[in-house]
Amino acid sequence: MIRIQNITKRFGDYLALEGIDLEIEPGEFIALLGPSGSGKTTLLRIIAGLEFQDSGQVFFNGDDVSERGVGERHVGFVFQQYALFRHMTVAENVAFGLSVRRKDRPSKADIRARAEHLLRLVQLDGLGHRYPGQLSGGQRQRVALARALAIEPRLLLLDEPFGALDAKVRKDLRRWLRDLHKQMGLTSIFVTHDQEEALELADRVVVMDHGRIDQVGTPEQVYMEPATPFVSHFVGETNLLPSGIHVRPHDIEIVADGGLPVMIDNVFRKGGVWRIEGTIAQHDQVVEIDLDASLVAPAPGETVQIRPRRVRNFQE
Amino acid sequence: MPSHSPSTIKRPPGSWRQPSVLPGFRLTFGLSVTWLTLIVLIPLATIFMKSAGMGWHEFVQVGLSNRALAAYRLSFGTAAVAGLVNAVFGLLVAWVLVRYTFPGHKVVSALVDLPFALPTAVAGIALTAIYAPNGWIGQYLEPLGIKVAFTPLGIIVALVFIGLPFVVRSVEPVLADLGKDVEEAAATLGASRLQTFNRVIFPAIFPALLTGFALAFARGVGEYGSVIFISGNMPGRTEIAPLLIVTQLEQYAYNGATAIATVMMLASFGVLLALNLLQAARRRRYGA
Repeated sequence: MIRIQNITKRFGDYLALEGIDLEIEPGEFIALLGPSGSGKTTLLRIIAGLEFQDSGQVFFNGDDVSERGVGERHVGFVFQQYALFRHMTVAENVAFGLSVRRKDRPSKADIRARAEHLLRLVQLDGLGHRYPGQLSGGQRQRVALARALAIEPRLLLLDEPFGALDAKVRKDLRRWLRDLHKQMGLTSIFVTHDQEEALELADRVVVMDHGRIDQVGTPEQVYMEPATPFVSHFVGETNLLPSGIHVRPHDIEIVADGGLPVMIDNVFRKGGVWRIEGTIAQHDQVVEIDLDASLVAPAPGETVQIRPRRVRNFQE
Repeated sequence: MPSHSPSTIKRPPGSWRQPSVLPGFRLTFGLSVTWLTLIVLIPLATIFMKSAGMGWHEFVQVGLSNRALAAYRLSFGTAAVAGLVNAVFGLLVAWVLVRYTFPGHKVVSALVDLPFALPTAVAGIALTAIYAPNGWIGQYLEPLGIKVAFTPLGIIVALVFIGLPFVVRSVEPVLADLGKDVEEAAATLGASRLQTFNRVIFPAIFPALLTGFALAFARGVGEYGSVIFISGNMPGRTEIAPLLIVTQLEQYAYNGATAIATVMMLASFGVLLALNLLQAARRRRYGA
């Protein structure tokens, strides 16, 4: 179990993290979600021991590791830009963590066998003799993962692991990483600014903003019951209606009468639904509505009446 | 053959010219060949022609005389040692300049380039004054039995001075580009600082270090101005090859001068070509 207690970190005058408390159960897959500058990467690096907090503690299974360096914490870390060793083959990269061991280093044959096993695990068997420069982005990412797993870490930390990949590769890798996490019984924490990625992958999502945690919850909870206006806005799409009311585009229905009049500006098909963009006449407020694609969409220029089905009210 | 439409991007089969959307291949290629020919090739070819006119026997007698052989050994030997010394300390200076910010950083950085700008004779005179048996540093080395000025050691000191910027400026950008994350990756995998340097950082900057060494070495082989003051110029002991050429010229022995120049040029070219091939082989191995 990982426990993070009252962590604060400053860079000069800039307050990067303030009073962070978080507990992570063994086997959990956690997403640290937030915009850039929210402190999510700093928190991940503090857990790894690559950065040190100004105050507060980090516990691994009850041991205070706050003062321990990265080498002693025994965590797997996957860097955003992979950080592969370019002058080493893929197999040498994967074997690096084992070959630098100073005590009980496995024999050369054992190290080779272990590297081969890991390359099979990340579906790169047969590419061990290549150099990172000869691989695609997705393959490099998997090499970085195999390299991190070689030291058999109890905790796997990933910094924007899919950030540099194109959409299709990203989706495949996501699902595959989820399976791997389960199969190996890892505890994993990954940083992302992509709410879709966080909701799809994580058991629990930690939503961060301005160096603080806004909400910790399951993807269902942070989406359906956002704790703050920021979470409501950042996770999924939200219409901001007057007097602090937030409503999701799919939580709005078009009614015959008695609703809020909306002038339709634009209608287009967005996957399985009609996306309607309109303006609430009396407030001059833009609103987005998702309408079941089996219904007839209103035409631009028409005025319709809308009624929210489900809202969050953040009015104090 | 790719089916590019306009006539500008045609590629005859077997051509080594890559099709490109950027125009001006003919112009730039033509200009650079002309330029290289005028500036480098024709002067060098003149040396060959001049020495070819003297006949094999005479060529060997002058170009490979005992005095000349001793001069080659001295020039190439001291240049190699100075290049190695520069590789070590130049790397250190580059490391400090890239990794640390300290007051006077810009001044130190400018200081590194000074050997480029200084007239080499000035450097030679200054170094001689310092390292002569009665000089600032020489007076303390003398009792220890270490003679610097007027020995091969003095030549090495001068060449180290001249060659420092080459190594620093070659290594610096590569070191800056290497990025902290590679080092951090090594640390998360349990590598010590020393292991990280030996196995991750050094191999990554080695090609740049080799380039710096090659440049410093090449400059050292040809260096004249700073060396003649500190070396003492004793034939067979501290007489460098460029000085031997000048000596020949002063005696109007133009053939002899070009013979020595030809040998030096071939040897230098061989060394630089070997270093370049080594680099190319490494690049091929590691992919893009």
